[in-house]
Amino acid sequence: MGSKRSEPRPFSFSFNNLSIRQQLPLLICLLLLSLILTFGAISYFGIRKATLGIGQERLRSLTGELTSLFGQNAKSMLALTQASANQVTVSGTKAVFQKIMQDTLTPRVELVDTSGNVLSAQTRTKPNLFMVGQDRKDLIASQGRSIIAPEITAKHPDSNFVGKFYRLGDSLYYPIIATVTSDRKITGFLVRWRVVQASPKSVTQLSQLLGANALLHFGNSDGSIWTDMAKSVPPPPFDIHTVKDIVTYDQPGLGKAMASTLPVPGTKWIILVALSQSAVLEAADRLLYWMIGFGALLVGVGMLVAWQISRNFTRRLDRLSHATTALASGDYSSPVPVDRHDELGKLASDFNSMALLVARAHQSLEQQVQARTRELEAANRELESFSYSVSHDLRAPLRAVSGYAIMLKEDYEDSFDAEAKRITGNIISNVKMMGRLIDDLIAFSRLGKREVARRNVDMKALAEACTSELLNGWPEEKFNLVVSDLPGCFGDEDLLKQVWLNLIGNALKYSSRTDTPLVEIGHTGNGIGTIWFVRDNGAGFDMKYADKLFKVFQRLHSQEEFEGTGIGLALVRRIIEKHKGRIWAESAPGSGAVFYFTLSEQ
Amino acid sequence: MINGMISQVEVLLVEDNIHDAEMTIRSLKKVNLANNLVHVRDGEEALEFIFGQGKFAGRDLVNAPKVILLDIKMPKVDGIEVLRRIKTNEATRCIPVVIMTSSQEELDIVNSYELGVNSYVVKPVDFEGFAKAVSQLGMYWLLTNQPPLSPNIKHP
Repeated sequence: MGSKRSEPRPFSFSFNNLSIRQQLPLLICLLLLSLILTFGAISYFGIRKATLGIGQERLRSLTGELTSLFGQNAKSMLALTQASANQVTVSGTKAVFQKIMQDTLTPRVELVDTSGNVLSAQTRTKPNLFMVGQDRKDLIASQGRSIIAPEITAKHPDSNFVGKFYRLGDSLYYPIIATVTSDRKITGFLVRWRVVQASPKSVTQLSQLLGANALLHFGNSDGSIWTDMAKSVPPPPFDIHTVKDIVTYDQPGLGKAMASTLPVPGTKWIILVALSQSAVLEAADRLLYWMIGFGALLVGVGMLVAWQISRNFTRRLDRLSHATTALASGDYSSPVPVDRHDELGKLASDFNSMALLVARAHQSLEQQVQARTRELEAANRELESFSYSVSHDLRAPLRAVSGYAIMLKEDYEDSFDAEAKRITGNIISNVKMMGRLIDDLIAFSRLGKREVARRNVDMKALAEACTSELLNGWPEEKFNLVVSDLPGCFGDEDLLKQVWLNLIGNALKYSSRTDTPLVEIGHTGNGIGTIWFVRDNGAGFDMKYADKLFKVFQRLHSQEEFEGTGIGLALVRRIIEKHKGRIWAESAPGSGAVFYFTLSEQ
Repeated sequence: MINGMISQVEVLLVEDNIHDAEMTIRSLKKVNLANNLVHVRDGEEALEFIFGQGKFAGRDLVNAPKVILLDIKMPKVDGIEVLRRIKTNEATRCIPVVIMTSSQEELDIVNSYELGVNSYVVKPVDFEGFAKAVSQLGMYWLLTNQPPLSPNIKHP
């Protein structure tokens, strides 16, 4: 069929598909979200930057403080050692050594010359650890070259200093080097070794000073050895010599950390202070969480409020919509309540006045329709009474003409000559013809106002009944008549009987002059597509006049050839049209005709 | 066919068309059934005859026709009204009434039968068919049919 039904489209999200009730909260939500995100991001990054700045400042000052603290420490140790060195004479070092060795953290003390050769030494354990190029057999001897020789020779220090860290065996050690002078000339160095071993007290103090999220490492200024003053630690993953101020790196145990380094004055050490960046940024992150929570709350509240507002709007729109639907279905009696004076209120009152106008227009239209219907009914009645009059008033005079002509014939036929008899006969036959015309015309005009009363019709039985009724007027066995199995249909039986009577009657009439008249009644197709047909082998007609066949009073044969009124097929077409069907014919002169028709079930 | 001269009326023909009346009478005559026939020209006259009023005042009402042949379309009072008056009167409702008309209007047919008509005949247009129908009618109602016993007609 030709009806276009829109295919169900695959679901695609579009803002315009949403109802206003959904649109407004969504819009508000988006607006709030973008606002919160923008301001949140700006403030978060601002605060983060400021916090980082504060952290860096703290790191710098911490590093400075620690540097000066350990510088002080080194200075006091150097001063102590220097005091011992000042008591050293070439001949007598034993007393000095013994005094120094009272310190349990000092495993060895040695006196070296300016080339780094050990002049004398006293060791608590493993003296060979502190020597290079030493013959292993002379371990007990104090002769040999100290491992700090490169430090002394490379720099030729003219003052005391704390040397680098050395890894000797399992422990780290560092030397405190004080000059030994003679006649204001440096003649050698007193080297006091100390083991790297922080006391629990100092560890506690340090951790209190630094906090949990910071660390303090000491290293040699050449970067070779690093320690946390308890054990050896891996070196930082960057070159400390290129660090200008603060460096950021990944510190195991701290995560992302920022670090600062400074050399400790009076030593060959460098200290590295690192702070965990996440600890520094904790405040900023807390702010972020707060903002997320607050933002979510704000969006939720915003949506709720927006939903309320839009519900307020849409409730009114819904009322309008209901009223419109009611109006469309013909209910003019439900005005929309006007309970506010904004645009929606105006819309409602405008709607009400429109509904009033529509109701009035409808009413006047209704009245007009009623008036027209009355006029039409009157005209129809007039037409009916006209056809009634025609049927009654035309028949009576005609019957009189017929009657008097026959009376004339009956009473005076004996005195008539041939011409008078012919004329009387013509009068009688013409009157008969006119009588048939009137009857057919009345039947045709009656069909116009007749309603089609449909029910199930047995078409085969109907066609057979018509056939036997029509064959009454003909000599027996004249026609070869075939009625095939016809499907039933849903139509007006009385009207369909007229169709068969006319079509089969025509077939009999027009084939009656042939030697072996054959009339076939059949069908093709089934159900709605059924086409019924009546075929004869009679006179047929020229197809160029086919369009005249079904018109009133149109005939393709003369009255002398085949008598008829020219109304039968017009009547048939009207009946078929009333059944919403179609009728057509195929023929050629002398080779019979086929009349086809279809019926619609509705 | 004048009041009082007929002792036994067998057919009351109610027909305004004189030609139809002539043909009816001729057809009945042919089968010898028109001897006791009264022809009235409209519904008013018909009612006067049946109920013994007007120019038929004093008619012996016991003498009811064996059949009334009634046209529908007539001046003054039409056939349907005459039928109604006959069939609603206790005394006359048993008289057989045959409507003879040119009308094939469904409404007329339905109304007639609802009012209790005994037969409804559409006049054929051609005389041959008409004559045949009338003579058959006459033979049936006057010879074949057993009329009711003479009723006691009272003035309405």
